This record gives sequence, structure tokens and C-alpha cells, in this order.
Amino acid sequence: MMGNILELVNAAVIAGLIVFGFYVVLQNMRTIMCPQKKGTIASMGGLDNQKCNLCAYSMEPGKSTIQLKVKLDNGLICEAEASPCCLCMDRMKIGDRVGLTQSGNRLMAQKIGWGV
Amino acid sequence: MELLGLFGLLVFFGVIIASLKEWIPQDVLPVQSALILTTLFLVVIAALFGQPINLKELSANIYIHPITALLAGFLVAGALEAAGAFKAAIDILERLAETPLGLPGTVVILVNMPTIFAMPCGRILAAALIPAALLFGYELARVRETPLLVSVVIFGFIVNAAASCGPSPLGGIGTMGEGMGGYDIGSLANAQQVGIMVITAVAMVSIKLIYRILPGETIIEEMMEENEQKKKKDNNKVPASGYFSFFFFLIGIAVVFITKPPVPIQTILVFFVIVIMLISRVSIQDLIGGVILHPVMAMISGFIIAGALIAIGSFDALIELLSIAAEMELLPGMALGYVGVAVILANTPSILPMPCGRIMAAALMPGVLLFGLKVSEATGNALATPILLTGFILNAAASCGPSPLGGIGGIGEGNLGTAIGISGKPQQVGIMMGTGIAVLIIGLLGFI
Repeated sequence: MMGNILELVNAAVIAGLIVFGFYVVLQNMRTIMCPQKKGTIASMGGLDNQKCNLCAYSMEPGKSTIQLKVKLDNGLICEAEASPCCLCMDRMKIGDRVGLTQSGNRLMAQKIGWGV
Repeated sequence: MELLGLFGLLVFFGVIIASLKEWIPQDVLPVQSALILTTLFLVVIAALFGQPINLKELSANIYIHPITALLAGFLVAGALEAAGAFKAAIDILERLAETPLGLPGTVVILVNMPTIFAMPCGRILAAALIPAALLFGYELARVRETPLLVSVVIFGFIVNAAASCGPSPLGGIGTMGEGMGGYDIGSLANAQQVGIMVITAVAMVSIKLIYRILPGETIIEEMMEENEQKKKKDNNKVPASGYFSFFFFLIGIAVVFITKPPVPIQTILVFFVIVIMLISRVSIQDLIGGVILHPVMAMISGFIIAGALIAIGSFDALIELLSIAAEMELLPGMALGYVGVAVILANTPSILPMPCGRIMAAALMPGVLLFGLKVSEATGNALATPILLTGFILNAAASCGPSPLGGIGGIGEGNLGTAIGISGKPQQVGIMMGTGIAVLIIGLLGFI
């Protein structure tokens, strides 16, 4: 009986994680294809003159994301976050066009094309 | 040897090398996307050769468990971050520096912190703890009046973070190999962790004695002012939930490895997430924003190309080529042998370092397992497969440190104002030494 319940819980966790994975992918696609806001990166981690995407950026201690300032298409500046992988693997840099989507208390940025 | 299999192998390595050399511009076509296009190309070629690959064959190699474990791992990482556990870690380090352990002892713990936490992606802690690494690195350099020590600390920390996804129980690269090889979860982890300590130490020593990577002077001055300010600003900011999450996670993971409960790691990780979420009162939406899709996608692209390579017989061709290389006499009476070739195979990921170690790990793991069996047959050593697997996994995990395609080393180089790619060599030296130590541990002591 106990074993059956445990198996059921394990199966539910795996199924839940698969569904969660699809949800995360959809969220990511949403950020790329139809973001809530769009703009260009004005500064990364407080640095506004950094040209190299892998170069110096300061980060908030204990925070595993990079803080960005994004100049929105309407001219306003807002603060957003990006994953550290975006800076290296996506070569995100100042001047890149990004899409922004609110996720909980974070405004997440993702590199998008100029056509979006 | 089938011609199609050999062709597939050549195309795969061709794409990897072309990406590394930037003959394929990474801004336009990142290596993961290039591998997916290569898969499509191989599917077309296979159809032309009269050996069509169906979708089932391609997807048969996509293992769902490492993916779900990785997703659960990212949720744990997100929950820890949201609860302030990483801030608590920095605070604990600052307190440790005031104990008899002193600054050098604290720095030793700091550079090994990524492996202690063992997050599913090294970049999580590289981003979270680099301000602390800079702070302590500068402090040490100032006390010893040796600016070089900043680089020693930073790159030691960086390579440790890069390699830490190998032994991570939160869906690390090791769990992929353990699952595919049929070993208990975590059975290859301890040897890897010792190997990572060696990687870190060797990289640090080689920077100090051989490569002597000096940080930019203006960067040091700026850092001193910034860090002093940050130190003051961040005092007393760590919430109690941060300390709770920090100790709950470390003790929880230790208990899981000691007691080995008969429950999948995913269930345990989800339990961790729920507890930390309840304590720190964060919503699931807060955590979703912190999930990094790049390592997941890197792994899936590796799985997909591996599926195509299996279907067209490329791994059979690889084993045949490696066997020829093992038996071929380079000089009269001198051949590399199966062990010699296994050493090269285990070090392939750091020779061709990808921006995420999961790419090479997922793509070549079936071949590594098959060659491990071959080495086992040739040498009569029953542990040959886990030995080779451990070396390959650790090497793959650490390889994102020195990768010129946006490796973690770039974070350190940028923060120190050095030339991009300058930290690659000392990291690679460390990785090769650490890989050797990890495989020796499995070979001599077994699964510790």
C-alpha cells in the first residue's frame, strides 16, 4: 500500500516536471516571439560602456542572474534580469534588442531579433 | 566499417571544430543549433544512402530522467537564491575569515564552494558568488601585496564552478553517465569532487607560477572601492530563511547520499523546493524566471545528434577507429594501447571545449560507454567502463570553463580586465590533472 502511494507520488513528480519543462519552453518562446515589452540593452550589471559581451559586469552578491537596464521602445528605462548563460552562450551585449516578460517578481530579458 | 557511419562521425567533429574556430559564426549559428541542422543533414544523407532514420530512432536517445532532474535542480537553485541561501553563504564566508581559519583558509573554502553546493549549472554559483570571490581575492592580494593573487583566486573559483555540474546530484552531467551506465546515482560523484579540488589547485598554482595572469590595474582600484562599499552595504541583509535554506540544502543532500533512500532524486528535489518555498514564501513564478534553458537545450541537442549517430552506425565506426588507433604501432613496438586511447577520449571535451559540457557529454556518451567495454575486454579490468566514464564526465563538465565560445572563464577575464581566453590554458592543465586523479580514485578505490 505504502509502496503504491510512493510510486504514485514519484510518477506524479516526473510527469509534473515534464509538464513544467514544456511550460518553461513555452514561456521562453513567448519572451522571444511575443514579449510583453521590447527594448535595447542600455547597461549590463551597472556598466554602460562595456562593448564585450563576456567582459566585466558586476553582479549583486548572492544573485544568480545578471542585472540589466533596458531602454524600452517608448523611451523609458527599466531594470530587468537575464540568465548568466545568455551573456556567454547568446553573446548578449549592450545595444542588443531584448524582449521582456514578467515572471513572478522578476522581469526576464531574452535576446530577440530586430524583426520581432 | 560502414561508410555512412564514418561520414556522420566526420561531419559531427567537423561541425564541432568549425564552431570552435568560429568558421561557423556563433552569433549567427550557435553550436547547439548547428548540431540540430547537422542531424537534419544526416537524416537526408541517410535517406539517400537507402538507410532512412525515423523520428523514433532519433528520439530514442533522448533520456527524460536527466532532463527532469535538471529541471528539478534549477527549481532548487532558484528556491535557494530566492530564499537568500547564496547571500547566507557569502555572509558565512565573511564570518569564517575572522576565525582562526583566516583569510587563506576562507579562500580555500570559497573557491571550492561551487563543488560543495554542486548546482546543475556552474554559472548559477559563478554569477552568485563572483562578487565574494572578487572581494576575498582582492583582500588576499592586498594583504600579501601580490596583485597576481586576485587572478589565482578568481580563476580557481571559476574552474571549480565550471566543473561543479559534473558531480551535481541535481541533474548534473554525472547523473547522465550514471543512468546510462546503470550505476547508482552519485556513485561517480565523490571521485569527481576530489578531481575538481585537484583541478582547482593545479589551475591556481599554474597561474601563480607559470602563466602569471595579472589583472588590469584600474580594475583593481575600482574593485577596492566598490567592494568596500558593497561590504558595508550588504551587512545584515541576509534573511533568516537564507541561513535555514543553506543548511537545509547541505544537510539534506548529505543525508540523501548517506542513506540512499529508494526514491528518485526528482521527488527529493521537489520536496526540497516545497520546503524552501514555504519557508522563504516565494511563488513558483519567481522560480520559473530563474530556470536556465541553455543547459537543457545543449543537452537535448547532444542527445539528438547522438540518436542520429547511433542510427547510422557512427559509434561502431568510432569504436573501430579507436581500436585501430590503440593497436597501431607509432614506433616499432610502441602503440598507444587501449588505455592510451581511452586517455585521449576522456580528455576530448577539454580539447574541444564547448560552451556547455553537456553538448559533448550527451553526444559522445554512448560511444564512451561502448569503448569502455572494449577497454574492459582488452585489459581484463572490470572497472574500465566506470573509470573511463568518470574521466569523460568530469572532463566534459569542466570544459565549459576554458571554452572560447563563451565559457565561464570569460566571466573571470572580464571582471579582471585581462585578455579574453587567457585563462584557458591554466584551466585546461588543471582539468587534465584532475581528470587523471578522478579516474585513479575509481581505479584504485572503486566507487567511494
